[in-house]
Amino acid sequence: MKNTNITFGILISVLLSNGAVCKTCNFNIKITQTLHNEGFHRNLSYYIDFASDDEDEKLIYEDCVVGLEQILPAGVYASQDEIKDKRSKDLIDTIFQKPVNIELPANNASPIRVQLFSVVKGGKIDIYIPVHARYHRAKKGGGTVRNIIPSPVLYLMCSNKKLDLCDFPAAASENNLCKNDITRELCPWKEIPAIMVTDTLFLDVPIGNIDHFYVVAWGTTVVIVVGSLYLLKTIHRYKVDTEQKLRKKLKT
Amino acid sequence: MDKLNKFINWDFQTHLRIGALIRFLLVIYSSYHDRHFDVPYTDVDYKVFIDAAKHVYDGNSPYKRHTYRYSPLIAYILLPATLISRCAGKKLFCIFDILIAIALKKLVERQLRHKNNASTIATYCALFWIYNPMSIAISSRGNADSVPCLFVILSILFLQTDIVTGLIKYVLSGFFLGISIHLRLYPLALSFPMYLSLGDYKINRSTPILAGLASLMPNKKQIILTLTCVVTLSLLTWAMYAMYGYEFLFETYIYHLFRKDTKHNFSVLFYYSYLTMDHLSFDVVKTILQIFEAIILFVISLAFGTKAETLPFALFCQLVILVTYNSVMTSQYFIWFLSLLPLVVHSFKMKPAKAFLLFILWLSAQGAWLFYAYLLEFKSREVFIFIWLKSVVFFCSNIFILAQLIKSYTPDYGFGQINEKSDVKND
Repeated sequence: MKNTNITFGILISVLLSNGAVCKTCNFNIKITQTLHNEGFHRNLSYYIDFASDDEDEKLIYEDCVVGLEQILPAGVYASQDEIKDKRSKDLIDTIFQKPVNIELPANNASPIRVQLFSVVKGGKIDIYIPVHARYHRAKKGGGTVRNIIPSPVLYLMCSNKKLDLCDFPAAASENNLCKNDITRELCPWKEIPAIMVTDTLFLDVPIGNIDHFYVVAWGTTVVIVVGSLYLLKTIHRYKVDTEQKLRKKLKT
Repeated sequence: MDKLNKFINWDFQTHLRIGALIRFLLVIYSSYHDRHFDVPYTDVDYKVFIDAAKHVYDGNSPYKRHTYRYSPLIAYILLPATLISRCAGKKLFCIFDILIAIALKKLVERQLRHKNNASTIATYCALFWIYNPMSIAISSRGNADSVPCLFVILSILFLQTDIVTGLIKYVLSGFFLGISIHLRLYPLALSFPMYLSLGDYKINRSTPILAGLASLMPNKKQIILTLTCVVTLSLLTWAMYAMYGYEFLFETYIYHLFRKDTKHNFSVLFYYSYLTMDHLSFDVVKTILQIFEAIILFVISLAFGTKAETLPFALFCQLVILVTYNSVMTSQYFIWFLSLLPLVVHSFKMKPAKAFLLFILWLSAQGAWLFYAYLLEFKSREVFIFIWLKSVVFFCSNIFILAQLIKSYTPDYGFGQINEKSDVKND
């Protein structure tokens, strides 16, 4: 009976302690993902609120390194060089999984996986990257084409194994932030569930109208031919006039 | 008007100082502008140059910087910018700009050395470069096109003046022409009229074929010019190839030869190229354009390039045609022919009002295109067909303006200050 009481007591205390940890790790993290400006050249910004209104939970995330993984569709690109140049203050590093060719049209390009790194300060993060729309292949009727920018995946890496206190909702998933030779269990990056405050983003880009082809092809050809002949005629006329003037001068 | 006349007649050194000051102030302003505005003042290529120079400084290839498509020499020239300050490269380009103005003044002065008012006319001509908003903007934004422009002008300077006498002048001319072709491919088109200008042709309808052919045989000057140009170009290209391999050849030359840019630009071919992206194995319209371009370049070379006195006009026309008929055209290309405009501007026998109208026509055709390009690029408006129409208008205005300049071209006119009697007519 005594043993049963001790076991029960231990169980209660463990449950209570776990309950306390879970209370401070309820992952009330909110991501606001926004696309600024208009046209082909935009800023993609992320405002992440790490439960700034909950002091206990805020302390867990404070000073942790954030890894935000964003997939950009084939019709949108970001450039490593430009990000380096126009880096937002809190963005400490950017890694592209593959080199990006910024000159390709959308139909020849692939989606881009980009990882953005920052540090949680005051329970929040505010970063942005410049992104650009690629040209898309023209289609019948023209109009616009929609590039859908999916939500990012949020990872955290904290010192002193702070995140070990948290009870993650699922088994550690595969992630691209750890090198291939590091096992899933040893990977210090943890995928963190977050609430997307904003809707899925889209970037609409105007595209050419294939119906214009004959007008444009013929129009361009006619303009080139007529313009060139006019210029050749002008040069010929000039030479003839100059020679005539010269002959007149010689006669007089 | 009196104040304007007074200003124009300030001495050349004062104009140079003002020109330099405007450029350096804009370089300083560019740092402020880039920090506070969404659309930066600094040219997108300037960052490419600086990054390439940093790679060179670190002992790497400049081509490690994606989209660096220039000779490694540009990255070498910009090495101080990586050590001194971020703006140092722009200041360097502005210095090239000022050197161009000095070379232009010397060149026009020597061209007209036997005429009265040569120095004054040369100063007026140089003002077309010193205060040209395009040249000011391009160098202060950090575009490197003033570098090949200077070498082109130095090549003409040695060819057409007696700053250096004897055969050495042709060596120097060929040397600078070789450097400019190495830096940018476009001066290659100038080599043919430059070569022709050194010949002595007495061909008319009664000249026998053999005698005509014999007069086309290269003389000593032509051989020296050609050899030094080819040797300089080959040595530089070989040295860069030895250091950076095929990547240098591809990025610097091959890419530009086969470039097909589908993004909107001033070229009359833009929308057609975009609509046919990945569709054509043989591009008929582009071929027609290139055939006419080649014919016009050849005709201009024969019409104006065979005489030393009309050579600058031949070179100017060649560059206008090269830019107008290019399948990709951006504002920076205008600097190619605008840098030669001061060499010929004094020869246009034209009323100032007409000259002003032509200038307004050129600007408004560009402005109209830029308006629709802005709507597309910054407002996502579907205006491709209007951009095409505006590029057609711009092509036509370029052709029309060049035709008017040809009609009014009068060698030795000297803004009407050489011949006292002026009979300018608005034709």
